Amino acid sequence: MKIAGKDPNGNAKGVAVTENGEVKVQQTGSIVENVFQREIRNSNTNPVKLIKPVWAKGLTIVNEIYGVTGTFEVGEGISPWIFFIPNTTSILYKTNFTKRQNIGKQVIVIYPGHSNKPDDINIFLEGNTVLEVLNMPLYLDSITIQLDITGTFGVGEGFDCEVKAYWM
Amino acid sequence: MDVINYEYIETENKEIRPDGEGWECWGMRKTPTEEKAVWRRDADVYGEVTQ
Repeated sequence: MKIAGKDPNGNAKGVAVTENGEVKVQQTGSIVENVFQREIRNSNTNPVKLIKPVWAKGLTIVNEIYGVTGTFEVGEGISPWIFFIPNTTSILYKTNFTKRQNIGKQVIVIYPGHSNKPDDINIFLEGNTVLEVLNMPLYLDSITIQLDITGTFGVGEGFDCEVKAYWM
Repeated sequence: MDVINYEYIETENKEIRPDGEGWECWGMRKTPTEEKAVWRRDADVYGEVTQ
């Protein structure tokens, strides 16, 4: 059944409701994206482009590192790269995060108006989790994520990790 | 290809084995500040690490 409503322009529109009077809504897009499945890596991944659901205002990216082998100098390790690419010839925004050399989680929160720390300082959460907050809007309809991995690895060594993204 | 659900634990060196069954030495993790032996086993077979 339908009840009377109005669209953003003020024109009369029918709104679908249930028998109990609850408005029927439908969410589009997936909340969780499996960006990089769990496996052992010792070199950069290919970039993966995520399409922003129309309702999303922010994104949380979690790089979970289960195990690590290899030799790392200062500044080496693993970190996500994030790109906002408006076209094939330019990169609108790109940021490098602190590289990790041990197990734990790298959590990156991108949300406009949300900043509980300066962008150049890490906040250490419970255990081996590091939080990075980007106070910025998702101003394009897509975002591209890549894992940057540096270090010296023997055969079969590397980072056993996976990356998931949660639209907010 | 199925991915093995490894669990990991570190010891001071390869001569020190973790307690429990199924551990294999995966290798070393060397950073400017520490050097550890890394051990792994199939968590689906041997269960999660409890410490």
